[in-house]
Amino acid sequence: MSLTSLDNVLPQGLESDADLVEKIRYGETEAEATIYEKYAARVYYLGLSELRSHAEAEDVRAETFLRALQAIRAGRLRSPQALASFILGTAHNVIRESLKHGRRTEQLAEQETEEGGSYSQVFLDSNVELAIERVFRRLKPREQKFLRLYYYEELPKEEIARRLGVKEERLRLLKSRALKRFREIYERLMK
Amino acid sequence: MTHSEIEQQETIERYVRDQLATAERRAFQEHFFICDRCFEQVQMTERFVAGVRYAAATGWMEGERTALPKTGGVTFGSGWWWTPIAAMAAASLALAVVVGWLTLYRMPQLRAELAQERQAHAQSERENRRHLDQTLEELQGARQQRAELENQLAPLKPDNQPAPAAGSEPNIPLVMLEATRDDAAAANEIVVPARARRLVLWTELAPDSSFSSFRLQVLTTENRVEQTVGGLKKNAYGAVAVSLPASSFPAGKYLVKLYGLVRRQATLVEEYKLRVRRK
Repeated sequence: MSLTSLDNVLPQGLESDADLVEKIRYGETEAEATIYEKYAARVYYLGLSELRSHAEAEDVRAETFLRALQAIRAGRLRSPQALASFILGTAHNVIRESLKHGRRTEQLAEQETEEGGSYSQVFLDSNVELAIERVFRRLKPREQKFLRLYYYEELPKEEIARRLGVKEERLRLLKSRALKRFREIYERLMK
Repeated sequence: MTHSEIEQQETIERYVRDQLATAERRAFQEHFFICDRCFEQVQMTERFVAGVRYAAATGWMEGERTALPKTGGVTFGSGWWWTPIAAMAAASLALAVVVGWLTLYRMPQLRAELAQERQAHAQSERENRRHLDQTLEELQGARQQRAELENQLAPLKPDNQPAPAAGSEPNIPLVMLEATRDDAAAANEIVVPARARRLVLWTELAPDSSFSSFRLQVLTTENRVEQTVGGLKKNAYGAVAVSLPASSFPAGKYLVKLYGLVRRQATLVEEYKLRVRRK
């Protein structure tokens, strides 16, 4: 699906990006809030996955929207229907600048890591821990071993299939079942 | 990039495990920026993988640890036992040589290296501490900047956010003024909702602007001065921002004049046409 074709498949009642951009240029602040609501979580996730820090992800979100909205207001967005791509590109620029700055703070990051902030932990919270614990309780030892070999030790599927004596297709099924179960439990915990 | 391709190629999982090539990674990011379903799935997979890794690292799992690859056993030639005495003598000689080499040559060398390393390490630690202090100062500055940016973005947050504190006002209408170069140029336009109590005029200054302060005047089409605001200073973004009561601006056309001041001497810096629309 291309970015520019999205406007053609929008459900009725939702405004297209091009409409929102036009409204912002006419000073309608509600349109700015709509764009923020639509893309803020994505920009935050991108920042978090690239920089592995909640504080830096918040910085990325704030700086990205400041730049993007200023550009829209000033009419510097040439292709309003490609707004998503523009916001993504702006976020990438902000992240790149942050990483450049981050080289100087590398030592600090390393220190934080040693104190227990390993990289994957930015996506952990008590609900994730609880959900994964419940998923594992239902798995057989061999299935648990597969998940550990695959996601933690990052062995190729062929190697894991050979070690565990199962077919690769079976591993794929097991993986998707575990993820499905995790999703169900996690969503229940979030309610 | 279609959903069928994403599913078949396990793109979401490969994205989370950082196994996509740069172009493919960017293509998928462009996709989940417009696709709610994939965005939800990528976040859920991220949590799942983080959870599994955490469980593995903290020893929740019951499975056995991965067996280490078998090391090759030492094999002897088929006739080694034919010369046991020679073998023992050779081993003793080799042992004596090794012990002598360690005692007389390698140990002193290692001690010297260790002393050097300790010295270098102490120096490095001092430097690290200095860098760390600098970095902490920079972080503090960045946090303050972030707080300022968040204040600016606060009015943009959706309506389901907590209600604004008493005295605050969400969604203040703002116009970024562009200078009027000729009479035919289009006016800067601002839409002021009926409930708005204030509006903001924002104008960017030339980078070489050397005025110590600024004064802004808003005039009606009959050249009557509607508002005058003095004591304006260039902000951190190289701009001047003015908040004015919305009630003073019925729909219509206005002329905004910005004067720069040096030692009480006012110089006209820019003129802006402004059109106010009410809704």
